[in-house]
Amino acid sequence: MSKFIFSARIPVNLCTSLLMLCFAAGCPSIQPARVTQFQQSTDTVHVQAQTTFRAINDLVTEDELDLVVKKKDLTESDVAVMLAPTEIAKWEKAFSAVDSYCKSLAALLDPSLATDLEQSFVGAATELKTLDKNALPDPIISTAFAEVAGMLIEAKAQADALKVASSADPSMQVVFTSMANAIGSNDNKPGLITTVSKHWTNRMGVKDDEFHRNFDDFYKAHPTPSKDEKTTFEAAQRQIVLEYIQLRDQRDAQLLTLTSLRKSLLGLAEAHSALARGSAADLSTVLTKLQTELDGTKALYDQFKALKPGAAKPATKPST
Amino acid sequence: MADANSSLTDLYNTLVKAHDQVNAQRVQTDDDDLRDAMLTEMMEITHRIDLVQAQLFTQESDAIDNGVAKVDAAKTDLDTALSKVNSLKSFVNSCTAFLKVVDTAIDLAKKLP
Repeated sequence: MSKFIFSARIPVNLCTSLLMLCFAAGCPSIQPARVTQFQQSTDTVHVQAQTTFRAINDLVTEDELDLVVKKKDLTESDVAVMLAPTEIAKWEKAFSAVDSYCKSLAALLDPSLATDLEQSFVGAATELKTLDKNALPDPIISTAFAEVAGMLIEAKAQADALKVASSADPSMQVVFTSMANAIGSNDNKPGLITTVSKHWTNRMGVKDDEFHRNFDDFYKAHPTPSKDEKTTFEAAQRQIVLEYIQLRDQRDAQLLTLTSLRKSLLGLAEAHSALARGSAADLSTVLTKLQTELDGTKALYDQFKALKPGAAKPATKPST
Repeated sequence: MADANSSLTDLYNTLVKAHDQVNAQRVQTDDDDLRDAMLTEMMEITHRIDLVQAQLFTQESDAIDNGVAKVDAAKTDLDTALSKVNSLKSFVNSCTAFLKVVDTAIDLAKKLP
């Protein structure tokens, strides 16, 4: 009997050791906590995309109003919604699909799955032992077999998760990079960043023209102004400059928010790529970088909101 | 689709360039009325940029939508893998339950005269 126990424990222990060695020694694997972190980052980017789109549609609508009041006729295209709800719904669907995917991935990698199975095996072994005392040689062996079964399930779950994540990665790259492309970049190429920047150029142009016209009108009316007239005029001009500065700050904050959102979307693509490779170190680095970007985007958005007309007006330019 | 996308991108780039050019001329113009007219022109161009941007956004959203189908398929694969583990667990639990019934039967048989 003792000989049997000895001979049976060797393969069990060997198998356990090999599996543990594989997990510890950097075999490609996905840590469930990182899946949760990736999912949370995606949720945050989702909320930021929603608020960003709302802010852009508000900006465009306000400018359309300013333009359309100068016209004789009013048509629907004069007040078109730039980011249509039907298109935003496709982004919503994509974020929702990524969220569901993450939940399924986390469920498959849940450590309790293997633990539950181990308990089931131990339960079965106990019953078998009750039925026939010679059916299993020793309770230690049956527990060890249950542990190995649990670890094998864990290893199988890891292998399945890696296989699925790897096959899903090209689509994840398409989804996140298409989103980043839609946001655009700061190089005057097609995208929301360029479109939004043109709106701010126009808004600042209104102030710039007002400032210019006031100057011409003042010196036409007062070719040799008195000190008081000059002081009053400069105070009026100062107000325009302050409004101009406020517009500049709003522009910078909104463009920085968009740039940051683009970086976050590309960060999600990079994070999923590391996850699909089972590279814990890469994923950890990318997720830390992504979290910093997300915190920065949130701070920028708060600043942008604070700069909107009607909100308390900070005197300084947002830090970048 | 690629051609339509390329045409839209070209149109967008042309409008952006026109906006930049008008703005560059405006800031060098000293005539206030002309400056106002140029600014209105810039607003008109921006409105066209918005309309093209809306089309480009639709195309990007379609690309996102196409990618989503495979993400959904991946989720199904993960759920299948999970259900296989759960099936194994329920098989083992069924065996345990079966063995308990057998235990009871044996105990009963032992009590029979």
